[in-house]
Amino acid sequence: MKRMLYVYFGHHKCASTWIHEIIGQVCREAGLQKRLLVDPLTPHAHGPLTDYRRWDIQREELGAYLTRAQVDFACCITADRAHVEGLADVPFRGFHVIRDPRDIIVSAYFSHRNSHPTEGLPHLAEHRRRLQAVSKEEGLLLEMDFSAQELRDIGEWPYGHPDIRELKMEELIARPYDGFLQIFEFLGLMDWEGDYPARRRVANFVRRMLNRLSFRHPLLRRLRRPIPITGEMLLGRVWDHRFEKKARRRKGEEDPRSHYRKGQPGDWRNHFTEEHVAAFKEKFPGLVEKLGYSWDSSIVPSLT
Amino acid sequence: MERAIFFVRHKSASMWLSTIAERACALMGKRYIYFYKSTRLGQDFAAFYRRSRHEVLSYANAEIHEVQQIEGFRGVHVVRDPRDMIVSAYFFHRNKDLGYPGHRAYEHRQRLQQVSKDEGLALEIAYSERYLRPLMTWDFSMPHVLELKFEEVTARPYESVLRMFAFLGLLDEAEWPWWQQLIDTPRFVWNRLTRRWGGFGRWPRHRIPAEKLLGIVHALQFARLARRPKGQEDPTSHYRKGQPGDWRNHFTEEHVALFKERYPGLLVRLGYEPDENWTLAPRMNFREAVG
Repeated sequence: MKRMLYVYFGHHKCASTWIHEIIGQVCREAGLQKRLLVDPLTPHAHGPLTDYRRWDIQREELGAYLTRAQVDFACCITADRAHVEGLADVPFRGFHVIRDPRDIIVSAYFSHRNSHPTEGLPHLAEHRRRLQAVSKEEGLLLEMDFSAQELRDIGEWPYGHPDIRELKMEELIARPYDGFLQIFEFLGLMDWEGDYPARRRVANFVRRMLNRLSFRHPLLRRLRRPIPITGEMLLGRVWDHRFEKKARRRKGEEDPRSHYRKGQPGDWRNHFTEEHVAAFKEKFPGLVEKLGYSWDSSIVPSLT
Repeated sequence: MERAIFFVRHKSASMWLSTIAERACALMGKRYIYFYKSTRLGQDFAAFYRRSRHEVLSYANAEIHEVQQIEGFRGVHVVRDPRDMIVSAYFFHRNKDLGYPGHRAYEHRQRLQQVSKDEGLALEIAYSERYLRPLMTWDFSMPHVLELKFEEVTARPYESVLRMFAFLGLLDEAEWPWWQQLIDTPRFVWNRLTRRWGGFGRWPRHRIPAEKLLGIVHALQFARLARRPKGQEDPTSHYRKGQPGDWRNHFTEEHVALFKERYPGLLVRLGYEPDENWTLAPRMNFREAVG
């Protein structure tokens, strides 16, 4: 019987670093092998994927590659429809996180202009030079072109897939504890016993410590034993990665140079002009509505 | 160090919250007690507070004149829409085996079981005065008491409980490194064990790591306690429904009138209505109306 693969499908500027770090810590304690997969050309174009071990992973061989590598949890943070197609022969359960595409543009603009590392990403370094040479108004228009492929990927995603839970980033950052519980429940990784006797608590703690240790060196791998994920194991890691701690600010306060710049849904309204709205509608017709967002300021995005 | 008090109210997540406090204290090795007026604990909370040495207390249905007599504490106070309290109390008092023959709660239950729901709710509006009257005089502006609404607490239980414990000075917000976990894990097991013989030999920890607190909340999660999703009803369960605004499904115009007559201004005072002109029909712009 093939082992179950768990997959996080994310996108650039959709809290992917935050989600990936939480998953990484939970997997270490649960004894699950996690692997990060990235398309280095994102959000500008498509190219082979890399897990920083191999640089030529093709989307169509994704399932076979992850099975061979004995990966339990794959974090595909530059996902597109072809990722899902590449997993067709592998039993998997996953979740997919999107964000208001207008906020993606604003967030990407500030990130690409100020804070995102450009090492090994010549296309991004070139884009940064252009952004730094123009006004914010012009820069946002340039960003729409630069991030167009990512927004098309989000628009063409196979929504409604029975093994993929769809989530909005706005929902996840508003209620992160409930959000991550729902995700891990959907994946079937949660331990549904609420209370444990003292002996099991101690045994669980020892197992978590050994699992963490087992990732320190290949020779320690024998110590690893996958265990179900308890509430405190998961929620503790969400607490470790709370926005206030990562950004050293409260949610909604802005630092344009930080990776965790603002974290405020609907921030595009503070930066878009009528010209940007028109350009966005022309370049990405119907995308906002398709994803369940609205141009009407009185309508709060659906969080279901 | 200041003591911590959870001011809880009947049918306002009091059992849930006091259980969290109790379990957190069990781990931290802190002395905890749930105070309610009785022959065993006394009828005067202020007197009990002065003579007791508990670092953390829950006080059910607190009265402001007693709270104003005590000092050296920080508190958390949770209130609920009184109309939902009444509906919840009606089902609770009707279905739960309470008291003994001759006891007020027992007599009340007998009456509720003999009459229709409409009559029962009218009886409950009168019976719940003991729980609602203290709210009419409560001081909501005490800087050392964090005021929260049941509705927001149950909507965001993890964030709310973290906020409560942080306000009370009981939350350890620092990193919880592996070596500290190595010390704390046996400490927590030992502290729980010492409760069996009254707490002698406790190994106290002043604050609880967020991970442990979140684990307690998770274990007590509403859906887990009631074994069904929020909003789905089981009239016989202690955790019956937990849905804000459920009173609209049960109140009639007669109940609205009875409530207004008995508790004038209470909903405005608690911030649930902007004025006394509320009806069974929801207001269109409630949030704007109450500011």
